Amino acid sequence: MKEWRLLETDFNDAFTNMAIDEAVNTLHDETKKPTVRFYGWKPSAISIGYFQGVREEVDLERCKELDVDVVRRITGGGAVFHDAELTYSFVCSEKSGVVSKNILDSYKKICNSVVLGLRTLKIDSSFVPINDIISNGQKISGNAQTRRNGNVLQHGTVLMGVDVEKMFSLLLVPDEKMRGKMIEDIKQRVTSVELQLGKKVSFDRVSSAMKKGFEENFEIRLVTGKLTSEEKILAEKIKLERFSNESWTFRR
Amino acid sequence: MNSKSVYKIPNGKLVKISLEFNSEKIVSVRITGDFFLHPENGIELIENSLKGKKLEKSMLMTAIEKAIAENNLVPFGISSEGIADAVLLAKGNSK
Repeated sequence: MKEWRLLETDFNDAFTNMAIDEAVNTLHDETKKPTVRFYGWKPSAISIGYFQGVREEVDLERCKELDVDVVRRITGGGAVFHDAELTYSFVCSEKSGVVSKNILDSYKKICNSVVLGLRTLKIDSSFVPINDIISNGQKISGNAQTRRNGNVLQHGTVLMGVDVEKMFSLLLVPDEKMRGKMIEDIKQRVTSVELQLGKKVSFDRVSSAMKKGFEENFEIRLVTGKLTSEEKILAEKIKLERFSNESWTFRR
Repeated sequence: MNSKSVYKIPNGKLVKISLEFNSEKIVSVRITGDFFLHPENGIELIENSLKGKKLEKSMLMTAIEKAIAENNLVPFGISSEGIADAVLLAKGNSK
């Protein structure tokens, strides 16, 4: 059975997290094993999509008050409040044939790892194009992909718990009069591992479930590895030059 | 003149437009939102393709479609028609 690299980088700040994903993607090529990484966010953070306007989406003062990092991703999609969640990232080369050249097909394939991982936790879910995974009609995972340097990078969330009120205290809404209604709408539309199972599940438990999900889905074995020194050095550089740099955060 | 719009593309994502225009022509446009476009830096090519264009739906759509085709861009959750409608909505919002 093929072996891929598993990175368990635990909890880091938003800028480090996004820099590691990019560094792994940048240094990957078809001679290397695909990488799956599991991580969390400390402090909690808001990430916004590549194309979003940070001043349009985020209450920056409120984030500062509550010690919530704000980072712009290199992937598209919407704003995410990273709090009680496990985040995965996946990197493979386009040439490897591990996933389809067709972007929507590859979303489905990679997301199926999360669906299988949730099944291990006894949660039924399914992929809904473009980039969501829903359980009982409610979103439990959001995903985003980019293709650069001949590689596929996809990262996504597995919501372990959800605090919609807190999330909305950090995000701006198009119309303040609608805030209450929007919070109620989102509460109906979002769920979590905790809500589905009626109990809290630890990060490690979710992490090992997702590991199984990726292994089953791609018929591979994930072997715990480490970032190479080259990846660490590049991640540090990308963190400084891009993700913690205001010209990146505020470019839109 | 400067104006903005927020537009939910039917069966797509939410697009926000910041538009600067004079006498029916676009000076500059900024397209933001929770959509996807591969490669990502293609968004600037689309924005630039709209500079100097007349604020007419078919003109805008043609310019966007050309930028997408010439640069092999792959959009998800946005379309040339969706962007054109959002831009025209921004123009309408200035009145």
